[in-house]
Amino acid sequence: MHLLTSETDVFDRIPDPIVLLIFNHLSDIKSLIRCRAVSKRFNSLVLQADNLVVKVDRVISNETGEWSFLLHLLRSILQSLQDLISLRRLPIQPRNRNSPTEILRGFESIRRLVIELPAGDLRLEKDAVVRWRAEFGKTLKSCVIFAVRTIGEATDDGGGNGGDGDDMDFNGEDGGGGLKLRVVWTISALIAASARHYLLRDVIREHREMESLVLKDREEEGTMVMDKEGLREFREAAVEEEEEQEANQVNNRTVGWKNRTTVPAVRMRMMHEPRLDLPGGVRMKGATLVVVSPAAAQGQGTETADDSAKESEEQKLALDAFGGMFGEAAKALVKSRSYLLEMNSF
Amino acid sequence: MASSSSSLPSPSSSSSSSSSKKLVLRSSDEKHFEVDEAVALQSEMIKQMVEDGFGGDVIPLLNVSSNILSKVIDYCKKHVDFDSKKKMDDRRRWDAEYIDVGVDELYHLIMAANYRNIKGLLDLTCQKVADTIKGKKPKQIRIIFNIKNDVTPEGEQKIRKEHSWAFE
Repeated sequence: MHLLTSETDVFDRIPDPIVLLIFNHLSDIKSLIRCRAVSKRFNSLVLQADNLVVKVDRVISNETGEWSFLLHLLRSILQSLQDLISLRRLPIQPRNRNSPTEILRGFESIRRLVIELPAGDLRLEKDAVVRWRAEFGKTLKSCVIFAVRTIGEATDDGGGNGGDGDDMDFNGEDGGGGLKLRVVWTISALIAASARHYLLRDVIREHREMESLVLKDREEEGTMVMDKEGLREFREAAVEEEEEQEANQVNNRTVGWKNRTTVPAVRMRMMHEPRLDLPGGVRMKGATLVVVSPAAAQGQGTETADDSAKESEEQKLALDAFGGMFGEAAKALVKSRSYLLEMNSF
Repeated sequence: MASSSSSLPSPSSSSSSSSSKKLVLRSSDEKHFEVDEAVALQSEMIKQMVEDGFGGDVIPLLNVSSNILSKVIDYCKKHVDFDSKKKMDDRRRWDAEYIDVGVDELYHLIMAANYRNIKGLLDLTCQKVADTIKGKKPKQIRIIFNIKNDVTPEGEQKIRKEHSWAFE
């Protein structure tokens, strides 16, 4: 065991770039803000940190608070689907918490920002697991959704029984509610993703130096990412929008309930296996992989040639989306027969 | 190129039978260390010196004492091994044990890693400091690193008030 204190001021002899490197390794916004109260030098260097992780512990109670968007939003949209999917209740705090915009104010060199919400947005039936990863620019660029009804150990139990073999298993017991449920999960994931995207519009506008933005949750249910190109696209679109609004003298605020980014018309490639055995003895039941991408790019003639290119693009998206067990599952599922669906903008 | 017999940092007088190329490093307190070239080249600074044709002479490391240099060489040696094996778990475990040192030694390792430009070691040491800071109160951080408090009570109060959620 080592004595953890020093006889001399250690930091006094460490040059600024190294202190900054330490802060970037620290990355946790709460610890960084505490560091501002340590010394004058810390205070000024902390604000130059370019690698930040914001962990949102609890959702703010304030009705107008930005973080409560997700709740209200999903609640209103999903009301009709409530028997299938309902909102997780998040612990509500009586205190007023700062919005991400305010928390990050003062930080002037953010290049990489990760925001972590306390929990995912979807409440699923027991044992079901959904993972999604969406990439955004000014709107949705792609989304990969993986859903599985149960994850267990592969046993001999029922191994020889091919009774649950129907590919899409629309209504079967074992497949997990069939196609309808998969579509609901997919739409819910897209709504959650577009709400997360909308949530961060002010942060993106205020931190023009930002090159990478990730909004995820501690349960690792959903991840919304924007890369340098996506962020640039978003900012350019935002400028255009403002100019347009000024020119038209419209003062239309956000339309109705829609506190989220509009999802463009998309095509969805859906793959399903009633049973999936993975290396390591893991067995998944009712596993579905959905790759969502905007439909617009496809509608410009030469469709057959485009189609196979599009398909391999979709496969690549699926393979890159997840790590670990879900990455393995995606790898197995892309080989399955796929179904194409299209959906209007919503 | 594995020659474990001679790769321990030792005064250069103990010549080795290894065929791999050696470099000799000299610490600030005039001790000599003979190391495999691959190990020494983990340091970008030494790599540069070798490229510039200074590899044949004793390479003086003016800011690094012998006990810290020997610890740094330990790191470089181990990581040459790790690079050829790719066992991430082993590496993490070894790194965690390696970096379990007091604040003063940590400081010297940071400075040596920075001076000799060894990215892996610099990341490891900075991460250790970051982990030490994480979750601590400002006062605890000042005590651990012996930092003089030059923030006025009003200044500290202002930060605490504006970001009360961070100080709960």
